[in-house]
Amino acid sequence: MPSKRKFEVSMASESATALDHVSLRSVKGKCVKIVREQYLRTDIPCRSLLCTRCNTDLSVALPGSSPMLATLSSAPPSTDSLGPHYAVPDLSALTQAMDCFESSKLFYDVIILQSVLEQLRSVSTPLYRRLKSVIAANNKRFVVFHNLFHKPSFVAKQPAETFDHYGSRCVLSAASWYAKHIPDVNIVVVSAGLIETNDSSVTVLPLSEYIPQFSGTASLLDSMLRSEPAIKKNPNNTVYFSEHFPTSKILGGVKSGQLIQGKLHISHYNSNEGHIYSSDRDDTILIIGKDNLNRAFNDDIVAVELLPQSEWKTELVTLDTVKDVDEDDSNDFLRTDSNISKKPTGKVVGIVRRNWRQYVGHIDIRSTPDILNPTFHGITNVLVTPMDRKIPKIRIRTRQAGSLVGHRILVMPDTWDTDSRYPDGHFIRDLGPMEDQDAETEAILLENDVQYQPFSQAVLDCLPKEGHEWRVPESKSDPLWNKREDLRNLQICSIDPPGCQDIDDALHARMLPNGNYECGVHIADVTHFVKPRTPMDNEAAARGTTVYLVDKRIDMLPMLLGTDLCSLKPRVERFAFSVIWELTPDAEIVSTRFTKSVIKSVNAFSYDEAQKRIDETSNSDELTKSMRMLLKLSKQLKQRRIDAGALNLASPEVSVRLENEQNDPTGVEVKELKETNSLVEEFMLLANISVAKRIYEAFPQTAMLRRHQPPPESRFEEFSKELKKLKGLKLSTKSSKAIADSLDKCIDPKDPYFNTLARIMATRCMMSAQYFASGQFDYAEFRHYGLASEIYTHFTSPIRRYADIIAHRELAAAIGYEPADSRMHKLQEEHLLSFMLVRALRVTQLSRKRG
Amino acid sequence: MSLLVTRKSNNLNSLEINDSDDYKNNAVVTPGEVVTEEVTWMKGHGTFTDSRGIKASLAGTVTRVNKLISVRPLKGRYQPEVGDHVIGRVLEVGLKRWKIEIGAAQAGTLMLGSINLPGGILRRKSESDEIQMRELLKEGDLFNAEVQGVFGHGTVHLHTRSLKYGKLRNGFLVVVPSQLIVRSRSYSHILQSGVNMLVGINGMIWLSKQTEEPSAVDTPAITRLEEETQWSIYSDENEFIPPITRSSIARYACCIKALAAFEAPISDSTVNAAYEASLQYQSETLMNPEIQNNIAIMALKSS
Amino acid sequence: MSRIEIFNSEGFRHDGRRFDELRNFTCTIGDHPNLDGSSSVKLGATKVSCMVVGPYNGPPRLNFSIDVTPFSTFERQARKNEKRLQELQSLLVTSFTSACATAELPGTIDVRIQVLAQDGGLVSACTNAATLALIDAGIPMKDYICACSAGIYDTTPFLDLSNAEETDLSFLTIGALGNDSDVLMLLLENKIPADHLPVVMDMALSGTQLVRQVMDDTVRYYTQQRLAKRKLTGL
Repeated sequence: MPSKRKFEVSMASESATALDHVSLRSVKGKCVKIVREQYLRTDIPCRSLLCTRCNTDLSVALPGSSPMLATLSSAPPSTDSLGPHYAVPDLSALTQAMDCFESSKLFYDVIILQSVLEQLRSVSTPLYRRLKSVIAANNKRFVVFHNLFHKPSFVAKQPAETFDHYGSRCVLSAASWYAKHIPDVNIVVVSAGLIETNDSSVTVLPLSEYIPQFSGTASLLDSMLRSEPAIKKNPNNTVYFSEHFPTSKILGGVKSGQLIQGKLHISHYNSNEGHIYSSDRDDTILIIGKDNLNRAFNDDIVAVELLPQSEWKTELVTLDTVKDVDEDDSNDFLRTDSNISKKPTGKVVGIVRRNWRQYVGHIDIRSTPDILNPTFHGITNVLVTPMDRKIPKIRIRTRQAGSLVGHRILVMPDTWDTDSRYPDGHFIRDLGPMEDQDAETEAILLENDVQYQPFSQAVLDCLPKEGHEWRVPESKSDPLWNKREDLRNLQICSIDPPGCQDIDDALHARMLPNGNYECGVHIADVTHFVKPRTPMDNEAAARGTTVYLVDKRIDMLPMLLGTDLCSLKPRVERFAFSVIWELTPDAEIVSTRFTKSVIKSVNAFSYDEAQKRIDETSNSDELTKSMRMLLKLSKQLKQRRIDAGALNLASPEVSVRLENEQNDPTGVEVKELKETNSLVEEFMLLANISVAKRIYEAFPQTAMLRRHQPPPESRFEEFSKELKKLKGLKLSTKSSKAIADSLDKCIDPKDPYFNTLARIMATRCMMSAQYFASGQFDYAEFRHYGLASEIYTHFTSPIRRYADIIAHRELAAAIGYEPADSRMHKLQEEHLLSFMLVRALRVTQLSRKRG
Repeated sequence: MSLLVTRKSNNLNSLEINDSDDYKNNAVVTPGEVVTEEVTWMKGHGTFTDSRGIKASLAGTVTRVNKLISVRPLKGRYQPEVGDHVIGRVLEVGLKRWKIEIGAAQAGTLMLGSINLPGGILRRKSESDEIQMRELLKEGDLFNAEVQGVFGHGTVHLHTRSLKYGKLRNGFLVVVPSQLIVRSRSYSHILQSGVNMLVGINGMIWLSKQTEEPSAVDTPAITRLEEETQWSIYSDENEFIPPITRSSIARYACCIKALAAFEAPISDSTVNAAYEASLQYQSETLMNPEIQNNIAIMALKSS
Repeated sequence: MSRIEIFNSEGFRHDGRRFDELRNFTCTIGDHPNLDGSSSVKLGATKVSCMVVGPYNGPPRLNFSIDVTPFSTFERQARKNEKRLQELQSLLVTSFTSACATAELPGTIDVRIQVLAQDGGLVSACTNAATLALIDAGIPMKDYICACSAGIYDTTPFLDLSNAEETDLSFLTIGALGNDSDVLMLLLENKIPADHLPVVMDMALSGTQLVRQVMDDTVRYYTQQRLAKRKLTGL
């Protein structure tokens, strides 16, 4: 098996000395031993073009790939006082002014130290990710220098040395080494904290002095204001909140069961009320009032102490009587009389982990009316009301308060002390005037954590070099044709909403000599272009789906792929992944096969066009015939599915009418569902189910599937009660079939919309479907309740859904087209998590092009 | 490329032992190394043949005797040879034989007929002797003997048919690797302070109180051998050993252990030299590894 | 996102090594002069010591026992993973039985391995320690059995994985018999795609050659030392 190829292996100790860390730590109350070894090398390149001594050939270190790593230029930025210099930011500079590092105005030729990078990662994952993307973007010449592996500049951590002090010693040591290594350029350590050096070759400059040396940076300065001590609104040292417990006490308390740890969920209706779920008690614990919330934010992991039973309350049931209680702490009304069982209440005594992010909000003018004075230009404290009503107001300091009033701004909370009513934060960015379409769109995207920045260069580099000129190779001997079937002669067409550019799927059908039908679903072969673990793949995984807004589409994949190379456009040869069935005239599956293929779609129809073509009896060309076959079969498939108990809960498709591309929406209309809609839908479902079966067979542990649990009956209680009370109708929830049947009977002759309304309400009662790996559950639990299918996955929309990309890769491996990826399972787990996040986003999707 | 070889810090330079990289190109062979590619040689101990010639299967030195090529290991279990003086311990009493642990791969055998029976050499072995075997030598007893024969599969037969051999008492056993024992003509040495040392080639060393040599006057005529071979030679009773002798015995034992820890050769001269060197230390410190090391180095220097 | 960065874009592994570098590998033999054979092996932060008793009176056989000290593991605890150790023991018995021509052994040999510290590469360290201790004990062997692990990250083969890497990557351990890269032992406890397997095996085999060189140097050094001491007194 081994090819007897010899690697020139060596022992690390030849170029490095080893350093052992053995530390004993306490993890979850247990003593664990952590052994780590670290090699200090002398052969780490400085990666400056000015240096002739360092070997920068990375092909030695990175076999098989040729990464484009930045190098420090020989003509770095220069200012009057500093001369040409390389900047070395420390941790404080990065945490406080990440925007400056992302800005195109300054910070070129920057040395990011490994020690700083690791500290940043432990401090804030979002900032770490942002910095990594700046480094990867490769246009600002950020180089990573591994000072922790570098013998000359490594410094060991002293016992009892603080995190910050050690960090700054590392920075200074590395900076000194650079200064000696490259004497032609100044090395400037940029810091927002206090660093001193006695090495004259290194300049240490506070961030606030460094930034103004570059033009156009005034607005960037605001984002760093928080380091200055904020002027407290309360000079008489009133303490509003009780102190949090020290960490050790919290850990001990949680372990002994005296405290309950959980994720805080703030009520949708009242920002002064929240609850956590305790799995031990299998119950939720209410936390009512600002005092008890004790500075916790929504989503924070908090430790809660139970209040005495006498203070337990009932949950706020009737919602319409709640007034705006934003500024009001006394929200105990309605809770006094309690024949309903009381819920335990608690008080937050500590925050295990903050889940602070950046919040979009606007300045509350009431807090500081004087900023409206046009002559006012000083630094002032203002309160920002976040868009998310679960988040309390955040106090920031700014010198541009006047110009920010009435704007959507992005802020980040930093601290919340006991003697402050509000959390202190800092200003990050101005999104634009409120109610401005661009600003609001961006605000929605930010609040929902949608990646909307344009694709980075690293991602774009993954695209085929030919760009729009890319063609399917003519010669079949080309390696790209390998294991691909030639289906260009088939009468394939696609049916999509009007104006659709990213055509994921196309269909065909033809009569077989034995009287059966051959039907094919052809899906864009996205994985041919998106190879695993390339920057493009990572980006697509992070985005998860394409997001459709009223006037905007946030693509998961770059335009070139989504709307051209992958899109199964008519009359162009395209790569596809085909599922081909042989169906009997009764739409029973005789056989299924999967293949990568090359297709040439004959035409792309809108639903209307397709419908018209089918209805027009005079048409008798090949294509129309095959469409009629598809329609006939789809009706049979649908009937069978409905008989099996599939629910028709789909909320009505809504489309927003725009007067023209630029204008505001003028109205909303409900789309009319044509037979052709369900034609496409049925075959897509069939393809998904077939693929799910196949990948489950090949990967019993790791196949990526989707399931939908039956709703617990309790969910329907209220709805069926109301239904009975108002209309005298009965809702049966015994099975999905029963629900489907009884929903069909929910008709009010006077109100034609009532049935749809009932369906929407029923949908609300359902569980949400979830992605999972097949190893997670028993086969019996794979069931997709809503579709009444034993097994299901997502396969048919790889251009706009990352889950489908995973399914494509698994299917390709299952049919032996390409080898299975060793880390597929691991990646998949990570991505499953991100899909969960994306779900929250559905709320904001004002209009999706199709279901 | 220089690779790290961890060396014990035992101050070898002071002994002028070659501590340079010369060890790589010396007469030492290691397992898997081709000893010779010529087909004229016959493979002996510690070698095997494969397609590339005769290879070593042990780490050691190459010896060539006539056409036989073999590798002598510098470490390994005792390999008995006829005539070796060994010290053994009874493992089990069997039918007309004792099974003896002598530190070799297989246990040695002592036949009932290979010992001097009380009552004389000419006596026939009787059934009562078979019954009484345990009274002569029982499990755990130590005695010295000579290797009478070595048979296939490593079976070893011993005999004690001489007044020099017999059960051991009045002393202390030290076990060292057998390769360290220097073969010499005499195996019994009278050391200082009335200590007697019996060296078994198998690495077992018996340190005991020196017994009075039977004087020439009392030497019985050869015909009276039978009377001399009394039950007393199979006695388990220790004589009185004065404390000073006891501590000397202990000191000698420590010196031998020190030499063994250093993997130094063990002979009467190195033991004596080690004893001299040890006198500057308190006896209770003699097991300290550092002191052991010093003693061994001083002993090797002076001997 | 995992706890550590396995392989960063500049080509460093989490402990500062390149992909093809072995950790510090050092060994000694003859630590216990009163035993027939002994050795200790350090592979990075993994420490193993091995003791050999025998051949002694008994059927020709090799016995292996592996003792994982409670303080060597991440969490201090009594015996765990008994099954895995038994598997490992039988793997070693099989491998060494074929290399030692056990049927011709004069007696039984006990090999006892003590694991003193663990940071990945346990199987390799145990195998190498047993080889050295058996050679020290003068047990005939066809050649050194040298073991080394290798894993795969994306398409990059990694030599000699540390504990952190072992938990994140798929890897295999190869025991090769001597210079000819004859694979005597192959242990793969998770999945490696078939088309990457040759590369990973090549990497591990290259590692075993380096390991063999270190072990051979060690054995020569100690043998030479012994020889010199004996020459000194004309032995």
